[in-house]
Amino acid sequence: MEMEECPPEEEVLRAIRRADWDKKKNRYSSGLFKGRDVSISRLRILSYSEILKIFRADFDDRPTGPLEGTGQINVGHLQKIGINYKANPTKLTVVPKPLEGNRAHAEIPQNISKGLAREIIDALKVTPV
Amino acid sequence: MNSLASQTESRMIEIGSGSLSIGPNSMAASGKYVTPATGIKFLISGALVAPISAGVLSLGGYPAALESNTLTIRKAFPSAKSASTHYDFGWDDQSNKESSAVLEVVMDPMYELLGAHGVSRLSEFRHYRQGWDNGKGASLSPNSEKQFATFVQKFAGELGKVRPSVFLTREGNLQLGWEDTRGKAVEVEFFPSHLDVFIESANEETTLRIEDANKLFQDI
Repeated sequence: MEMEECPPEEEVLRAIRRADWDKKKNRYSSGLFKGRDVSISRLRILSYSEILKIFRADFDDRPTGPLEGTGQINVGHLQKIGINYKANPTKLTVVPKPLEGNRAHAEIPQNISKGLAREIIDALKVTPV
Repeated sequence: MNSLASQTESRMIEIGSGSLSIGPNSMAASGKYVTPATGIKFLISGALVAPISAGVLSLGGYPAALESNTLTIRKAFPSAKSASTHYDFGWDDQSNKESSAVLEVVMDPMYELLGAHGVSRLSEFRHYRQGWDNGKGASLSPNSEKQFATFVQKFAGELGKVRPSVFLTREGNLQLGWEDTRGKAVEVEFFPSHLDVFIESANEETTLRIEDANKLFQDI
């Protein structure tokens, strides 16, 4: 059965936590997008401030994953990066996976390599919080 | 001028043009431990501090207590090793002006490599619990940290040139990241049994053993 996919015109947000971003040295880890089922949130469903509140509730209330910023990317742009990735062209999709407390939640189900993850990170519009 | 600030939050002992700072979790004392020869002696055991060459000693990120002439760092890294060093310094207390000497400095390559900022990140990652990334993300693997410490000790000189950042991955592994001479990313993830290496300039993802990791530093 084919899963529902977010259309290319949608914008999505990725929470950027301290584990993935050395803000002081402005270095990112490919871990931000590496692997399967990377969590993102859809700006079509909730506003930036509502998603930010959820990110903060998810992370800042725990002693574990402080939020350092958000990374925004257009779904179509994300897909182009995947297809154009020379080492291993990858068809990326964004699949809605609403959660209790975050109905904007979605995931990228494909297995993203470190190299592809870095290309996605380079394309993010990062907003420090 | 050499001085010891009286505030408990941040104590600063200046050493020439540099300084020794004791972080917010520190306790410090003065005046009780005078020795006839050199004044107060602090035997510093545990983990310290870089860059020594610039005359800067910093204990930021190391919870420390000063008791009976011994400044004890409560969470010394397993990689800490001793070095015989002697530093003379003095301070102005609220009521006393005294001099002191550090008789032994224990050098920690981890601290020298990562600095207070990196050590602070590493310390924080140790407290991350299972599910730290939206329900995903394993807590830090002790075996990964062991590999990490071994790697840092083996390649301390090379890593000192690239001043890497430390990260925690969702697999619960530590990871170092830096740029090569072309400004391209190099990442080393410390799995318990091996290293996962990503070299952006070659778009190469490979697996290495620590013994074979020399090649990582051929381009720095």
